[in-house]
Amino acid sequence: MEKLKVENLSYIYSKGTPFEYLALDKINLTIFQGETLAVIGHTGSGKSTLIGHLNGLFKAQEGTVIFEGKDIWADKNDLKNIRFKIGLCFQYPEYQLFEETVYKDIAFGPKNMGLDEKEIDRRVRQSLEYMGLEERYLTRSPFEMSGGQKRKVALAGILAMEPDILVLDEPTAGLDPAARRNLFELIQNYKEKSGTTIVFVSHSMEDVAKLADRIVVMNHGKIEMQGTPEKIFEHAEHLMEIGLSVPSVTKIFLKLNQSGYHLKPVYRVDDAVRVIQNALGGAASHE
Amino acid sequence: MSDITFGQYYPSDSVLHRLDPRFKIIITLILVVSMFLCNSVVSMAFAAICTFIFIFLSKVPFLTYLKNTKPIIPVILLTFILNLIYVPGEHVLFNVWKFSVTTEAIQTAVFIAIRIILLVIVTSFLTYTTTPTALTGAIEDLLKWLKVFKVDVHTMSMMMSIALRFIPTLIDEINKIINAQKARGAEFDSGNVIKKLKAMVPILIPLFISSFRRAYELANAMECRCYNGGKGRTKMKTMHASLKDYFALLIAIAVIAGCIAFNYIKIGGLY
Repeated sequence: MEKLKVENLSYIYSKGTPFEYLALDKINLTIFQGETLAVIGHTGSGKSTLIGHLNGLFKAQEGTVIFEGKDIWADKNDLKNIRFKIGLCFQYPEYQLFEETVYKDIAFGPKNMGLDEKEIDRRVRQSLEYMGLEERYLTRSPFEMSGGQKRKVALAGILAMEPDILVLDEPTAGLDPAARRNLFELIQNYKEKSGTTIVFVSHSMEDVAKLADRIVVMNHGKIEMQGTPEKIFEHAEHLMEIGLSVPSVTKIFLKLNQSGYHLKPVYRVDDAVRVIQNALGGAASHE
Repeated sequence: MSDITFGQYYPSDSVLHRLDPRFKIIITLILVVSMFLCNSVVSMAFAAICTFIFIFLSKVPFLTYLKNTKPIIPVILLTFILNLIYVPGEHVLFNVWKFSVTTEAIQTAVFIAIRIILLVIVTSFLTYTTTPTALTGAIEDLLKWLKVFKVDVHTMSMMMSIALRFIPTLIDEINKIINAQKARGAEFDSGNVIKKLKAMVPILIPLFISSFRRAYELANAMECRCYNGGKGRTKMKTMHASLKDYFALLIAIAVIAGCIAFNYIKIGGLY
């Protein structure tokens, strides 16, 4: 089922000045209920601008954004509700923390929704659990926590709004590998439990391969390709041309095939293990 | 937030862009003084014409200048109305409630309004055609003599250039924080004054925290490069005065002289 639809979206920064910059050029994109969609593209390809349009933080200069069959800008008073339904978490969300306690900060979104105390309390505790933090953190100041924990608190603040679509702009940027893995596991787990539609931007092809059902590739404000990870990572050379990459394991397989093997292209490590085991188990095709 | 153009450099390749920034500061000061010196219709017209010629020479679109004038429209209107009712005169035109409006008052009001607009435009020349770094460099150079009085000119100009340098960064940061809080349903333009002030807290606290973080980072980066103040420090771009700078200065002096001279020419009953 179509959940969110972007039609003919264009956006120009600093219109009418010498700094004019075309960030989005007639984008058409559909996001389906329950899917996990990854948006990839080099720096400045328009990913963040696109994401800002999804919940109406940016007003489309051209084109429309349609949520559940309705233009999100049709009723300006309803825009606030759209923002609760399409939960947007920016890059480095820990910089938006401001409250005295973790509890209050997570409760900021639900409070703005006008929910009652009981419901707010339930949501705060629930989203804290989703982010794998213990309840004892609730009374702490967010500013005395570590970077990774702050990130989780900020994310919990978005989850507490219980959005229909969760939009994440590079959720693991600047985290160490262990924290990255941990955060992705939590997001995956959240997805399984809540069934929320997720859209995420990432520079890590490994993360994209692991999490995404579908990938959108952006280049110079346009959608270059979209499709399943299998389809997208087939075009390794094209991806490299536009400043992107494929997962390391896919690269290794490409090299292996160049040196004479005939292996099925893979993009996940566990698939790779299976393919190699099959190949070694008698079906090896080395020439 | 994004329409603050005051103090923003407008890249172009005009005669005014290429002038020595030190001269530009002096020239701007002279022009500002001349705007205050014009008291007659003729001399005001002369000042306005000169300003328009400068606009043309700067190769910065006229609209960009107008954008700078927009925020001060309330000030202009207020001074206009105050002058209209408070300036005394002999020729009373009509009375409004307890106030009487005279020909003299109308003239003064119009004059001051034009003068404010011209002043904004003239000072915009400097900021539109000079990069902030060139500007602070020039100020440092012009204020060198203050060292005699033990004023640390270098530190002051360094602080100023850092402040200028971080204005766009902070504006970016504010926009990001506003968007992030809006995404959590924060509203900034509804409710009464107290509600609006309260709504600023989720912006100001993150902004303060990140400003301090930036300050520490910058201080560390400067110390890592052995920054120890202005002693023995040379500049990458040294400023050289050339013939065209002196010529520009001469023109500025001509403008101020013109403004004074034209004060003595009177047309009709106007002064």
